[in-house]
Amino acid sequence: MRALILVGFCLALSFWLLGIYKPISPKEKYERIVALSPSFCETIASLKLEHLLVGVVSHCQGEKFDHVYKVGSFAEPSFEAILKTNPDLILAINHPMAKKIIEQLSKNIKIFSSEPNSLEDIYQITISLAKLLHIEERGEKLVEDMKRAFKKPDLIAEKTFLIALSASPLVVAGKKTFASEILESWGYKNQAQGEIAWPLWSLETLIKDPPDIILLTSDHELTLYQKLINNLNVKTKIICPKKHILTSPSPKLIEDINYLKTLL
Amino acid sequence: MNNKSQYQRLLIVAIICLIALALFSLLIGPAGFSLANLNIMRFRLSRIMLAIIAGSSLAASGASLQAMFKNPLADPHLFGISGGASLGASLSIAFIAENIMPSFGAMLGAIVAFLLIFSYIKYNSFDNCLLIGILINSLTASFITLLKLALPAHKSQSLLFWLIGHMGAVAINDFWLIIPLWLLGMGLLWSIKGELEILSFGHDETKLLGLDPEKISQIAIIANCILIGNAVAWSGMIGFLGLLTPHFIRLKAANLRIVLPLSAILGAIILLALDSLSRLRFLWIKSEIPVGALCALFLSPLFFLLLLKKNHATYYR
Repeated sequence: MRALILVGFCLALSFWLLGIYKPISPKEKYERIVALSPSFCETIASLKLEHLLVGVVSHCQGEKFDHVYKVGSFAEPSFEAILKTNPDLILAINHPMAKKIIEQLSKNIKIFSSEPNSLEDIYQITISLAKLLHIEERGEKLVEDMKRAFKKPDLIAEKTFLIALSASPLVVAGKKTFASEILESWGYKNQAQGEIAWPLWSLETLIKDPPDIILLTSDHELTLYQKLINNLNVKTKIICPKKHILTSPSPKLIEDINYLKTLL
Repeated sequence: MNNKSQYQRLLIVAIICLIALALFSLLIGPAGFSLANLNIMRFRLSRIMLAIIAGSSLAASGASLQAMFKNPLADPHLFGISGGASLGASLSIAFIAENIMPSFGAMLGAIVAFLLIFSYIKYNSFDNCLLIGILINSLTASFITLLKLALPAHKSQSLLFWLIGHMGAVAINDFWLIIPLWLLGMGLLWSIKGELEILSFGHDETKLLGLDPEKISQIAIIANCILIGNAVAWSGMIGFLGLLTPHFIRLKAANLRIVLPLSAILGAIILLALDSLSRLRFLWIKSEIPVGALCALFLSPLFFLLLLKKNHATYYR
């Protein structure tokens, strides 16, 4: 019995010693970055540092990220796959699944985590990340570009709108989302004024008080939206982009917004 | 419940309650009440009809399955049909959402799952039917998880939202398909309710009375597949209703001839009441609540309280 206790104690001690880590000091230069969210992939690409990405999640799509090693999905990144890339910096959004991995990895690897909910958050994240990567000027310029792009365009009338994410059921963007924030700053009025980010929108409200426009975030379910509008006999204009826009809290919004202006 | 007149009285009261609730439900909603706006009335009517059809289908299906399998845990969603329907809807969202509603994909998925189950029970023992259902559910759940991971974010989102279950996406024209299927399923189940009651005593006892247990089971499974597939395709996954509603009725009666119709009506009442509640858009969040979430939220504690007070009538002998 004593021997067993001794062995147990030794094992516990060795695990504890293995778990001890050196405090991570900020590196001069980060050269192996893993991005655990599409928005971080896009931010890094906008900062022109995509060559430093050694791992991304499968939801990071686009030519720039096709060749980069995939470390799982946004919802469930793989601990082992991340370690395989031997990163010195991990960029992650604070969601429950990523949090577990962040906790485990933070002992040995520098983690940059955030939770972008508003435009101000996106600006701050871009500047902080640029600072961490020693390209402050590039970061500040990117934020300036974003602010310029998000300015109210000329000849825009005041209209009510909904930003739709799904047709069946109808899920829309609430006022506390960055996409809504941009359109509201242009004088448009989001009908979804509740507290939650992505409310299930009542079709009855849509019939009673139809918005001037329903802005889709992709053309994926266009036919379903058209059927919905026809079934409910509602006079609302559907604005449908040919690509996926307004869902990623990153500087990619510049491109999205410039494209959106051409549709409005 | 001891005599026939007592049962008939209860049945009439339940039907009156359902009609009253349907009328009340027609009056309430975020858009208020106005007969002038026919659009809103038409929308509400289609939603009320779907709640009645889905609620009665799931509850009647739960009651018949629990009697058939002599198992209080038998639930429409354990039967594999819901899994098939969910996978069908998921595939349609993933690959052909530009052309058809997820509900039609769900209907196709339910038919495929039904064919799998039916081809199994045609040549094998009926007893393993629930296991086959669980197997199909697990398989379809794995495929759906893989789809969620593999699809681009916007399709993944649509998939997730469809799976939460809600009643608002049905158009009045869709009832040309929904009502005949519902009548067919309910009719089949109603036509064998006496035989199902005997079947709940066991296969040997059924044979002794000159009935064919295999044939009764096959008809019951066809009826259940039609009812569940139809309900899930149009209203998504609504849990607990099919499992718990028959138990509420069994607090009063054990005979399937009574349990089946009363469960169907109570299921319709419960789903209609909860859907009306979900339509009100809760004040501070200004969003509808998926009716599937409300079902579990309200039914579970209510049933627990009832169980504490009453003795549960037995139905497995």
